[in-house]
Amino acid sequence: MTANPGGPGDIQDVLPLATLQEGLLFHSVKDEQPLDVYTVQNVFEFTRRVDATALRAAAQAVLDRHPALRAGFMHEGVERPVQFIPRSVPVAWQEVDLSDLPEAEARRRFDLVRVAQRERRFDLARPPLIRHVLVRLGPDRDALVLTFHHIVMDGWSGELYNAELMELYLRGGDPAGLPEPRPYRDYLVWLSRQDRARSLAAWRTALAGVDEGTLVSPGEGGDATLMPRTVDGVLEPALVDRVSALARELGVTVNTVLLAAWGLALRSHTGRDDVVFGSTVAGRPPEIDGVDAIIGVFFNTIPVRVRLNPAETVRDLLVRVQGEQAELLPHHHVGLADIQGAVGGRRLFDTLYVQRNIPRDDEGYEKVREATGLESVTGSDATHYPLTFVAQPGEEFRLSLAYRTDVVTADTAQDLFDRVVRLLEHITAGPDAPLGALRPLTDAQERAALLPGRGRDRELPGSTLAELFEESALRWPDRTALVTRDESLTFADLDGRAERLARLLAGHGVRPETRVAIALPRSADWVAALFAVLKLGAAYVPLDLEHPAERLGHMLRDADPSVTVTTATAAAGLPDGPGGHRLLLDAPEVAAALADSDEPAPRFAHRPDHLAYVIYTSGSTGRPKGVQIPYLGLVNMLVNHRAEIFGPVVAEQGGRVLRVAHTVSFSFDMSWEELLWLIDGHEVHLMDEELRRDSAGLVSYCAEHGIDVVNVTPSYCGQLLEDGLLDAGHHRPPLVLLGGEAVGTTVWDTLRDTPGVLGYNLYGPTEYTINTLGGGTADSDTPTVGRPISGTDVHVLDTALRPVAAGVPGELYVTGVGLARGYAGRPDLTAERFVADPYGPPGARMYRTGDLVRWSADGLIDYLGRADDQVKIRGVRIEPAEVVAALEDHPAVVQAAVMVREDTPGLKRLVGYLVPADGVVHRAPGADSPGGRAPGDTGIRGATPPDGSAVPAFDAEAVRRDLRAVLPDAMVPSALVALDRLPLTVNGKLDRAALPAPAGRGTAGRPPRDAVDRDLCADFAAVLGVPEVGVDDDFFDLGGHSLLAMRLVGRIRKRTGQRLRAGDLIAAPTVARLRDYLESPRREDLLATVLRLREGGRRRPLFCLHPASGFSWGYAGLAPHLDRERPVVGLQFPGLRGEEVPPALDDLVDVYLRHVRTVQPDGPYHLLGWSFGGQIAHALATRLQSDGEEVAFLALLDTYPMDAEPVRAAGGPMSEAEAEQEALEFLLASGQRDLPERLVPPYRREDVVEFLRDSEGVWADFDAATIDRVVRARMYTTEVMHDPRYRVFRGDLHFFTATAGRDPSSGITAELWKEHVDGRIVETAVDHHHNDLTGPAALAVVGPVLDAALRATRSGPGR
Amino acid sequence: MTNPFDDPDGTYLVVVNDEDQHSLWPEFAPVPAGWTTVYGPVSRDEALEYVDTHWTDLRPRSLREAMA
Repeated sequence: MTANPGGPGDIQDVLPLATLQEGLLFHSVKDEQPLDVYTVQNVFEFTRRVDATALRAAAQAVLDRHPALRAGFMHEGVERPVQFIPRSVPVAWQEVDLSDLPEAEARRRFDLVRVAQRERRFDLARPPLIRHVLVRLGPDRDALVLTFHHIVMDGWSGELYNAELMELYLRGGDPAGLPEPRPYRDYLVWLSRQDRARSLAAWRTALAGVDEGTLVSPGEGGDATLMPRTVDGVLEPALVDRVSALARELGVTVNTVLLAAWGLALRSHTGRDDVVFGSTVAGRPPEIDGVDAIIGVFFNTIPVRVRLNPAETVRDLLVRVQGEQAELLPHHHVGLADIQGAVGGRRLFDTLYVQRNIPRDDEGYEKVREATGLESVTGSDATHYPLTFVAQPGEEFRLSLAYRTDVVTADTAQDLFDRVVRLLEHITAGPDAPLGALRPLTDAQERAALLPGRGRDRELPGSTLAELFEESALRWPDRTALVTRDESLTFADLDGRAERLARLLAGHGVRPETRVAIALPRSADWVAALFAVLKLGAAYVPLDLEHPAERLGHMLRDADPSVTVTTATAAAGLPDGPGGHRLLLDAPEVAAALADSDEPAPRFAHRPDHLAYVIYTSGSTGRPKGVQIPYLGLVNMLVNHRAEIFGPVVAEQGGRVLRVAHTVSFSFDMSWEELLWLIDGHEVHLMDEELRRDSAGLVSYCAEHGIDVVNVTPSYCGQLLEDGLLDAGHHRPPLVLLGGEAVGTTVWDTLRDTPGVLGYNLYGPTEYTINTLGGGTADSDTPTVGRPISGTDVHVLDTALRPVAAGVPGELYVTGVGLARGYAGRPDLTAERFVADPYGPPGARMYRTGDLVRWSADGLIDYLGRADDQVKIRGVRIEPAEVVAALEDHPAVVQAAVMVREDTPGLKRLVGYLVPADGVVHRAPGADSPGGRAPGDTGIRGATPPDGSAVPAFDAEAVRRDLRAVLPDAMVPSALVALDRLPLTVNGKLDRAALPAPAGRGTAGRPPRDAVDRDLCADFAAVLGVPEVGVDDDFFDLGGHSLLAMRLVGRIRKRTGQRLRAGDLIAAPTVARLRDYLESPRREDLLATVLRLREGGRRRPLFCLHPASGFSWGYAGLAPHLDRERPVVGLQFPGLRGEEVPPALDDLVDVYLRHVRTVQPDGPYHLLGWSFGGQIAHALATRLQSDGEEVAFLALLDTYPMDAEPVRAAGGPMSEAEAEQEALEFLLASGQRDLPERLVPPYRREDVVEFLRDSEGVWADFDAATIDRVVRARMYTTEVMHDPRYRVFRGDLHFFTATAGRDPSSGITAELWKEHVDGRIVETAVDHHHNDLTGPAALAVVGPVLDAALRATRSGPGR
Repeated sequence: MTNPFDDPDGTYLVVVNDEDQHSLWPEFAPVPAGWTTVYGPVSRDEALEYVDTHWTDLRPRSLREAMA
């Protein structure tokens, strides 16, 4: 039935394709499915018998008259697709007779014919692309099924075709007398003459700033071949009249009104204020005479952009949209692919708006009807878009919405359809209404959208948080409340300490509504101070001691506290002036005042709206802002957590007390989670600054101490998981609390899939007390921020402040009992963020979070991102504007921008861009050749030049150093890039996409000196993701941050086994310095009372007691000789840290006992002591035994009972001068440097201090006061041994005798211990001097013997 | 997506509740129950300036009175 075009002689014309034809050809050839959605069908039904011959002749005549209908298409073997027009093509004609069948059966068969015709693909290379089937339905009923491909005829042409077919039918198929039609070719010629560049420019302008497409099906290719379904309806005539009247009044077309209504409906469906959808346009250029009568393809699909500002009136919107569309009218001929290409190639839309403005000659139609019995012509066509909205004006104003069933459900489609109608009602209600007043959702839908945002109401106790804590202290006075590195406090201890401090604070005028700044290191005192403030009903202001003094100064001036609780050392980091009275907890008079009396602190009348705390957070105005939080929300939080978290988890654990690791800085409200557990009677372990940042150390701590709850940011959690937090083989915390930033799927999945572990995500801006939303891995398979906590309502609203339906992105607004009062001293900021709540009780306020979220179908909130610029880096909330302000304050910078980049997946970092001041152009050599501007060059300088070699001369590192003085570390950009100017978009906004990634910095530093350097450099480079690193390159300057630091120390530890903490990198950030550090004793450890010489391992630790120097790091060399599963813990003299030391040995043993029990709560214990340490070890062992504990191992290194006669004879306590000289010798020997000639005994303290300072070693910043303490330690340890009383140790004693330089006649031997030991004395002789017993050579002998003896004990794995 | 409270070209009201708490409010949206317009419609900057000069004590009125 189809014609073969035959030889070349039969071809009348070969033409290019119109742009739209190209698109249709592309869709048709791309897809091999049987169904081609661009196959269109019109059905003519006649109420009388049709003259088949005449109709067929008429069809042939139409084909003959219009070359475009005879076109075939070729795309293979040609550069661009072409259409060829054969001179003649026989009509495709078929007749089917169903008239003998019963009517119903005939109808059924007729439908089959239609479907078959519709589904049979056209081969576009074989014209004609139009088929006719005449169906005889009954004696007086015939139908013509006309099926054609859109590529030869658009909808308008279809109408022309129908009219001409009927006209010719009436004429018996004879075209004589009909006017000669204008050929489609003329249009193609016109098209080839258009100024393409100008048209593309117009499109670029119209679409400028469309940052992403408006897609209802973002994941879809948009090319499914399913036949869409349709919902449709006819507009009520009254509404049609109002639409027409409004259009007339405003001088716009009805089409514009409908366009706007569809745009508004899409806005409510996608949550976007700047929507783009496709629209088909007639595309018939008026400058071609008679263009309206040409049969062919003119229509085009163009993007229609509608920007919707809720403040704009309907009038302004309609007039503006009409104007914008009119501007584009001359450019309708540009193909969609070209338009998209001009704006970056993104998919701009996947929905379509169609207005069928098909000319219909009603009079002619009537005539045909009478003459032929034509009853109706119905058409159907389809597009590949998920949603196609069709408006068909006419006597009946018909609207229909075609939807692809794989993307849109029938309910959604119906709902969208109804929204359009509703919006039309609202639009026509009055042109002066703002768009914000138009309501796309029904009242019922809005109510349903608000419902899941209602948190549960739970009754709050009348007590304050402080009272609840005091109740716990009364109930469980002896239960452990708080464990820190240095001490362990019962509830009674902690409450007592807080009470005494409260009394002191009250004496300084602290009352409700006054502020108390807390500037303390992380310690039990911090927690005591916090509870002291709560007891008084006052507000605390946490100060992060690591923040620059300038920033702390701003906070103190702003918060205006009446008292600042601090210590002498911490106060050194505070600026002078602001902060009220400084209460130094370590000052003797304060200690005396605290100890003075046990009288309780006064109590003040409490109101739940009194402030509880003020926490500072990054401010977009360039200064941190203080969020004021009242008391009410804290109690509410406890009530919620009891019901939602504590209750279930504790029940799961059999109702026992849980151990909770406190790792979060007190300057984040997230630090409250652990304290809520404490208030409920659980045991909180406060990690110090070092350990809380040392992921591997933290994991070991959790395993060793059986920690049940950890509360961390998701990014830190990721690191903890990598370091084995949940690994099998040790205690696994049953609860991991997450908060502070969005949770990634890896962390969520791991927590969800680890048996016995619950992950629970808590979301909440600082502006709402601690948490707003919460949800766990048991609630959702994918990361969620959950649902509102009790007493809390949240709304997800659009930009008109109307609720959005589930699945639609909106901004999160929160309200309830936890709402902050506002920003201290900033009523303006408060009034713009804490705003009137249209959905709460009268007068209620809500906080707008700036977080983009959506409701999931099951009533959980999915976090999508930020509506503004705020970013989070490793849980720290950052307003880029504050960083920009700090940068622009710098004298070397005139303009700056800041953005978060993730150039390496999973590695987010803050990058600063700046335009340097003056004309100091910092071009890389060779990068500034004139005319060397590459296409797309944004004028960036300082970006890597093509050869990647040079670095701009602008001293970015100097600027970064200066920034560190005003911004906290997390807010200092990890890289700065100098630019000629900041790239701008067409609209004059910062063009973020054009900001370059910071160049991986090459290094000019020293190369590695040896293999050790080389390995370390390789570690640095691998972690930083840079090709190489020199030994003097600063880890943090190269983009390193705390998480990367953990990765680096983990890597070094794995490779070398050397114990290193992330914090060490801050002190020693280059390979050279880190190496020095690794090869010398740890400075910061040197004074700690509990010195972890080797961590990890499942066995119980070996405790090593310090010798007379007070230091125990000498035992470090022992670890390599011992079983790797055996941790080694040194105990050092507390006086080294300046702590007061009891005068009697028994009391000192008490101090050690407490530390030992903190590390290891119960036996069996393992003890080792050298020299003076041996005395302590023996005393400690017997004390433990008298407490009923098992001591499985006691070893002494060359130390003898002081009450034995030979020992007494050997000499008494040394003089102060002698002690000083010994101490100074010890320090000098630790300087690890040859002594200068002038340093000879007797040494002077000043000389030693100077020497140590110059040594750049670990002692470098020891001052005279520290040395004084070292000297006093020495004296103490000899004096305290005056009158020792020994108890008998029950068990074997392992003894090591130093035989070198020994006087065999002294009578001093291991046997002397027989008095004080009831078991065997197993002696090993070591041929070294007493003082060298912990040197490498001696330990080579001692170590293996100790190891064998330890292995022989029956102690199994710890815990 | 520009938040309706952040439009630099927008027109705003200042509304106040019984606790004397102030809120910026976009003119296009109906003023919620329990709030009274005390200033505007004006530009955003003017509205915030009004707040700055008229809302000098962030404490809720009931607390302020109880403490007086």
